[in-house]
Amino acid sequence: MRGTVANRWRPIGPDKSEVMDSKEPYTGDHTPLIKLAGAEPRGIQQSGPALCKGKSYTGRVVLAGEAGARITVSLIWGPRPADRQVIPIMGLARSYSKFPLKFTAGGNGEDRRSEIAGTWQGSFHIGAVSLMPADNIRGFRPDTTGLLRQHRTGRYRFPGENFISAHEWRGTIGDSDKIVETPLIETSKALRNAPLSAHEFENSSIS
Amino acid sequence: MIRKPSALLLLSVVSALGAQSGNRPAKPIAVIINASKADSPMFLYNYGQFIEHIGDLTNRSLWAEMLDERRFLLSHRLKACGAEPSARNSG
Repeated sequence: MRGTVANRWRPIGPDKSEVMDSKEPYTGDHTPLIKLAGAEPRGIQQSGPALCKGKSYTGRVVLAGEAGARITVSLIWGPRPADRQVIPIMGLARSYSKFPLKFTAGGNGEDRRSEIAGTWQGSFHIGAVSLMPADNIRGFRPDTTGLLRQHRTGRYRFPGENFISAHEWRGTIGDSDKIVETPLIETSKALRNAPLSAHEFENSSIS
Repeated sequence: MIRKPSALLLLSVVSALGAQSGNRPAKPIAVIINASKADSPMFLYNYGQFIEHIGDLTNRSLWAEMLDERRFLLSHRLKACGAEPSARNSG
């Protein structure tokens, strides 16, 4: 479901196979640590937004793991085993690395979702993950930003107004996979999950 | 660069404060706008709008990211049964 309520990551397998590890976080206070269990997949999944059949999606995942772990990232658009594209992660290391992702959706079923899963031995950390339509313009949708351009309203400033009056912009610059916003007021709760930072907006095509 | 027609403003203000004081008779205030003359283009950064995180305005509509909690900042354990997360702090 897309809306003001964020989609949740759910475990693949039992709850205890996943913990929030605060010893080796990639960013923030903690990072998911997945404990593997042989051939049975372990990992996390999130119900996805609408997909378009034939459209390409690109992204990246930040992973660290032990040598025995075999990790895949999947985009799933239907109930059948064939209704998915599975990308194997090659070159997993003990230190965090970024791995590029590219999918082409084959449909838009109700049970569409994204999965990051592993099998075999050891464990792995998931530092951050991102997925966008491949036609994004430096992270922005070309359709909606195109509509804004039609208005000829000039520059767009971000953030804006009282809604983010306690927003700490200094926490929103740098590598977007590591950004940790620190808003102080309740109304800024939405920003905690905000993928978009001031730095990203600065690099955008509509500003 | 955005060009906005800018009227040349000829302002004639004759002792506005004095007119309000009541000590002297009010004198007329005249404004003449010459629309046939354009000023220099408006400075780029003076003209525009702002974007903020109201509802889906930014994250769902303009920003192309498709995944939520993509940096796993919330403190909740991932639950199979949909337990609501508790925020790390009040914000």
